[in-house]
Amino acid sequence: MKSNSNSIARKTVLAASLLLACVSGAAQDSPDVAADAGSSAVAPEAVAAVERMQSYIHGLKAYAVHAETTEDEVLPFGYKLQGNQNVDLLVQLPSQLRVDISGDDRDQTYLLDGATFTMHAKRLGVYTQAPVTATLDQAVGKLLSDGVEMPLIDVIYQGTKGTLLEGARAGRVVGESRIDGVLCDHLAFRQATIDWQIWIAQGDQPLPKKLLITTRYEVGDPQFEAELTWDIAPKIGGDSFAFKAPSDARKIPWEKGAHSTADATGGQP
Amino acid sequence: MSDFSSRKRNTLGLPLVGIAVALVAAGGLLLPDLSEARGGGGGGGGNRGGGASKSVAGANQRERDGNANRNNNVNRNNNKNVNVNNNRNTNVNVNNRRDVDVDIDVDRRGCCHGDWDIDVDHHHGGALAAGIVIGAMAVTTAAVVGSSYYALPPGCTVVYTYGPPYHYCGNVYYEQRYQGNQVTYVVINP
Repeated sequence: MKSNSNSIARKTVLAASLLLACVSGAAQDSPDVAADAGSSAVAPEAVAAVERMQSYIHGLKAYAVHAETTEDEVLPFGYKLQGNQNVDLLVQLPSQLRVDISGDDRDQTYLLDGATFTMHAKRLGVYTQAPVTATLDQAVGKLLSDGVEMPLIDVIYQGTKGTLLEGARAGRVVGESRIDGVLCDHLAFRQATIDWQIWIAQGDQPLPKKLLITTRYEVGDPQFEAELTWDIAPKIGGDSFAFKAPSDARKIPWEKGAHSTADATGGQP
Repeated sequence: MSDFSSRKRNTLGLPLVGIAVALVAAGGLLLPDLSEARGGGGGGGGNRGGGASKSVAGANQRERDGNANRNNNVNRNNNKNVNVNNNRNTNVNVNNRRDVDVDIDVDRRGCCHGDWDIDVDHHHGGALAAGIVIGAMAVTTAAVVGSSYYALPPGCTVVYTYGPPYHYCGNVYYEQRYQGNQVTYVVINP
């Protein structure tokens, strides 16, 4: 899709087509039927662009991504606050992973060294571990089902295991856009609970440069946004994926299997 | 009024209607101080209520889970609806209006601005959530064993044990646990 014209008419048509596709999907009673009906509403060129990106990431043996991310949090009265995070991801196939996050209210490290998965909350001085005897793609699938939604897990997931399009009921190529100096295809997708957009570099390195997720059915339609900087020849040290617990860090239990449903603060004393 | 009955904790036992009236009356005073209101902070990157989904793969997972078991889906993703119904019963029959509290003191850890009494209910949001804080009710809560929170209330001491230590806060013992990738505090019976 090489069009430079992002006219209003064009966007209107895009919105209408995304909407129509979803209305037809939503009209179905069974979610499975709806998903099937919707899959055909994803434009072939959008699928092609995503698959091009996936197969390129599949071909990488190691990569590093730095991302600046923002996420909205909706407060009472509909106020939205935006949180900022820096995320550094280092992946070495087949089975090693490191994610370092620093942000407004959390510093967190995730490590997968091929045998053990570790989550370490530095500011809280706690960590947890679980054995992992699997390759990265198996491990990431397991982590997702255990409720571990790491930042940039989309990158890892599509780089190893599956497609992001699994839930997409509608999708289009919007046009071109320049992100961080790189000309990208701009794609938009809609699925049951989120809308998402991705900007994939054109040319011979079709890497995702930006991701934007809009959560629907939440007051204020909060968004998560990540701009990604790629290094496809990262330096990897001998201890890049090793976890050494700080002397004052404490290991705590890990309740797997579900997303946290905690409330914000414990009862008042 | 259904929002009230979805709350888990207790205030002074004020009649619900009274609180609602007070909320409306105090509406102009209830604007949260937005300079510092980030919540939770447990340390994870998971998807809190009121927040943005942070990954497509995670959303797919949740949608998939939902398809596999629609009841689960309701409980997990649509907290608002389900909690309203469940807790209303509890409220009336068991707790005698003790389930009213909605306030959460948000205190960003380790930052420079001290305590901020912004009250945020991450799971239920909405205008009512912020209101009850006004008046700073000192509350004794019947904490339910197994319920979990992203942060401890103030004034806790650490109780060392042979295993992980407990956090003892106003007659309630908490244990730190990861749930998903969030660090939480779970009420326990030591």
